[in-house]
Amino acid sequence: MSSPAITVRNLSKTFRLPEERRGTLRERLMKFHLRNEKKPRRTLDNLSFEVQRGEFFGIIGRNGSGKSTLLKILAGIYKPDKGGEVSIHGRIAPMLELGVGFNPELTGRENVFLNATILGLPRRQIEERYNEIVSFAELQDFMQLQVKHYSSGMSVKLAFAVAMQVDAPIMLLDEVLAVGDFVFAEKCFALFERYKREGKTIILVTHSASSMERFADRVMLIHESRLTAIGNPHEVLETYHKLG
Amino acid sequence: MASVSITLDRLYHLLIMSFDLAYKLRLFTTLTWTNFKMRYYGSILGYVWSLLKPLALFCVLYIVFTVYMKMTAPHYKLFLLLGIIIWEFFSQATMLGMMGFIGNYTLIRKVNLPRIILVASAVSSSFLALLVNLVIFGIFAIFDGLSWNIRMFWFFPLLLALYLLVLGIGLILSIIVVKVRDMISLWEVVIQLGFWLTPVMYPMSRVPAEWRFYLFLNPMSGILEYSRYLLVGLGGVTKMGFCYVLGISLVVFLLGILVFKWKESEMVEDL
Repeated sequence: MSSPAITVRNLSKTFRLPEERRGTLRERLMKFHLRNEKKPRRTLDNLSFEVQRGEFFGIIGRNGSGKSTLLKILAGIYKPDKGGEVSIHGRIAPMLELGVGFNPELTGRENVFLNATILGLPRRQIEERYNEIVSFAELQDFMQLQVKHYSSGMSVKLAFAVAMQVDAPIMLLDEVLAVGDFVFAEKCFALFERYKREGKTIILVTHSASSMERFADRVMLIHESRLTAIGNPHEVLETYHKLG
Repeated sequence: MASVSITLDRLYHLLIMSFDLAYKLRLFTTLTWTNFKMRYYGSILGYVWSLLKPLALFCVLYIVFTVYMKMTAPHYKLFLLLGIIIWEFFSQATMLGMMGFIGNYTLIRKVNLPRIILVASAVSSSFLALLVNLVIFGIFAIFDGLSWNIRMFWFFPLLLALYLLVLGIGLILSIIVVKVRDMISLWEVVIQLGFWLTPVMYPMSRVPAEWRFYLFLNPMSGILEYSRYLLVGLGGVTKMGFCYVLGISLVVFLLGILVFKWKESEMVEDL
């Protein structure tokens, strides 16, 4: 019997958006006599699902459907509304964006150490794998150069090489990982394959139906804040395309 | 069987906790060091540039006070220099601490990291700069013929109090500034006023006696006055005043952590 890696029960997320943003003291003082109504906006509505250990779990949905909010809640960045329950069994490595914390003023080498530290790698491990990272990114000659002089392709490659070193039983991957040219996309897919072989639990958010069919064991469709369909990738993708 | 799984569970939690603590420590030191390096070694002259502002201020004030106003206290030079170094730390570190949250916008929205570390490392990088400046002060002091005294040891608890005070203020400001963006301009005014309302360039003894109590309510007054008594020998210190400074700094620090923990997750969504 398989055991769940992630259990989500009755998860809702409501943002309270003021009708008008008053970000400064001046604005507040000038309009203090007017009431600023806050409109609750439900971004996720009563989601319940489980992800099994070792499963490749895809999440699909239109822009603004609430996928990113769900990912941020799973990553622990946002807190769910009261009454919802999210339990994660095991260490989770969220990768919502490549190269977070990259500082353009620092050199490539310094950014590798900074970024890897933020992602949770101990310093000794970074040192051990440094050469591997550099050669994977194919940037041997540029490591002493400040990242602000990199092309966007170069910094993405470097960021990806660092992200590859992150090791956790549960991986949370946003579709940003699959941007870039086809060589790069193939590298991402090779990484997914490796994760799968290693028996990691993977949650992938993407718009790409083909990569869903290729990798995912199960797919979940979120539409207008609700869980609309979950299960066999082929069937869920069909439902998704019917949404139109 | 059940007991085995319980022990395993405990072991697992212990592992997670130690992993977490080690991660926080690594993150803190790496970010502090990066901030420090970026600010002071960005260019070869980075550190020299960072000294320019306080040094220029020092020169102007020194001329004004010794030539025009005939301040003749021994070691007045050191007295002034130490005051400016400490005040510079206060203004810079509170300002950087305030930006610790909104300045790391992208990081906070994409990684679940202990955000308190972002503020703490900003303040700590300034603190490292303060330590370097204190070494410079020490060299000045040797040339000025200041002699060693055992009471100088009491400066260290004061230094710790200063750090805690500034960290506490930075934490509180970093939360306020998310909602009230013009807090930045407001705080600049506070620092400007504080420079004159705190005994940075004049000793407390020059202040009318009936005002001193109110000035001492500001913990920075005590920190400046006492550290200069302890290191330079000008001014004085009372046991009660010293304890007040240590106590209030600790209170502000704890308050800062409380406010930050209380509002942190709400502010992440408002960022």
